[in-house]
Amino acid sequence: MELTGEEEKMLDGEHGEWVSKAIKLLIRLGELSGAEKLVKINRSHISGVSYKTAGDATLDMLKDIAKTGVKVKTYATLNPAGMDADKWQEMGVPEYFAIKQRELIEAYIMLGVKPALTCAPYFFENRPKKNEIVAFAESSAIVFTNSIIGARTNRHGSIDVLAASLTGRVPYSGLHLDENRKANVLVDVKENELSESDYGFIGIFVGGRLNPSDIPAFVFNHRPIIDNLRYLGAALAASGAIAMFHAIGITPEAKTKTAAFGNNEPVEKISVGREEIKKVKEELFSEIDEPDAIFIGCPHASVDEIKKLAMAVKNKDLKEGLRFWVFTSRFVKEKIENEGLLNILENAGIRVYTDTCMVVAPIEELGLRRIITNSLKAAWYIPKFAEGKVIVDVKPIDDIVDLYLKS
Amino acid sequence: MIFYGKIVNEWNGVIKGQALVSKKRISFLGDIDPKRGIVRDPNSDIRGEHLKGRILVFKGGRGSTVGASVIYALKKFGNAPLAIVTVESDPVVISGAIFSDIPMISEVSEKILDIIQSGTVLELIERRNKGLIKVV
Repeated sequence: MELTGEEEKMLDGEHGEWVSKAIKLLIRLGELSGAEKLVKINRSHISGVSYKTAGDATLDMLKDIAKTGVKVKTYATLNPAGMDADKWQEMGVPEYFAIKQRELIEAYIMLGVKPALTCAPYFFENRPKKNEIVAFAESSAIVFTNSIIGARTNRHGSIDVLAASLTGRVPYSGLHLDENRKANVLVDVKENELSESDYGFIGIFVGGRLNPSDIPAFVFNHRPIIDNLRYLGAALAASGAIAMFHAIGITPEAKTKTAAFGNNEPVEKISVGREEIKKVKEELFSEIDEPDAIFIGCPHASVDEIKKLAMAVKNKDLKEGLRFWVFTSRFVKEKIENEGLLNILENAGIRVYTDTCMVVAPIEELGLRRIITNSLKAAWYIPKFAEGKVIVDVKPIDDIVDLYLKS
Repeated sequence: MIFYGKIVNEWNGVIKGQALVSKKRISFLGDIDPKRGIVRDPNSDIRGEHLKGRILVFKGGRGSTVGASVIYALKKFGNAPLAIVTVESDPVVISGAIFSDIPMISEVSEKILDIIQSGTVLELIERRNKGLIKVV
């Protein structure tokens, strides 16, 4: 691989031991993906933040790295942690967990990383520009960045994104290159009356039929809103490790079918409608009538989503004994608070938590067994993390409000 | 007998030690107990074996990226293998080896898993930018 003088210096240890290790790792990974050079980046988003997933091993390693005084060279933000930093006790998070979680976040802060603690940094905290090459971890943010913004990131894991942040470099390969961003699968969506959860079901269905390197192009007979495409993308990434999709006539690199496919011919055509949605629901999820908790906000809820929810629950009350939690970023929470929406939600008995989410919080330790969510990403991961101790049902927000809030 | 592979993480001179060979892929998160330095996966063909001081030869990695931190923890607890030799190039194992200063060779012919056994003494030598594995 061809290195610049600056990169040679990093490798030789002039920027310290960890920058040297980091760039060596990026070179090795680049060799595997056929990259001929590294490329500079100014922006990254780091996963591996919740103590539930990262554990003591990651905590100890981060502390060792931070001790050397090395700092990230990118504008780097953090994915959600395992708890709301202020309201962890109210959530029921055990104290031992809270202590470890704080140490983990502190270690990242010492490295110069911004504790945005959101999986949706692209709204406010860390939004790449169109065509900008970045290093994002967090599968739902990767798919959003590539597909909806038209910025460019490969699928990064928690370690290589840290290496990219410490060096300000990534191997130039994969989705950085125009020719690798073209669709190769055509997906025809037959319905036009779809809830946000239906977009998730479609994502799970299609993702399960593709390889991680596939790029599906969706044809809709209507115009989905951004939040619907977010749910679609997060589910595609969950079931299929998909890093990018196109929506013809909607997303920035798919103005036309020709633009989406370039020189590719579709290797596969998939048709999705009610029947497929029903099949996924029956095969993968449980029927729950009396949940312990309702979760919204995976990926972290947008201002629009919370607005819609607030309008639906105004002057209503959550049924007794139920928990209804909304997860979002601090930035979004502040905005909705200023608009008076937080009050409406809290008056209805709904709690809004920041810094964390239903997937990375230790929900199996919170005594919750039956969960209802509108998110297919959450429904996909929660039972897996809880090793079957938690069951999940999926319902769109409208149905949840009808069923579990009274006037 | 000699095998060649790609050098993932360099070393100086010759590394000599006993092989610990698994024909399976390893998820360091879960399969390995870094504090005790042993393989705890009940389905592993090297279950209960200690990694310390041995040349760990296996098919490749699988599972969580946190596995890289577990390799780092092995090193920190003084339980790291002397070197890692793999058939496949798995990003998680590569990350762990580089971050933990453990010499590593990858992309070795899968035949190595049939031909050498745990206990076989191996020498790892760098030759013309390739990693050479010599059965002593």
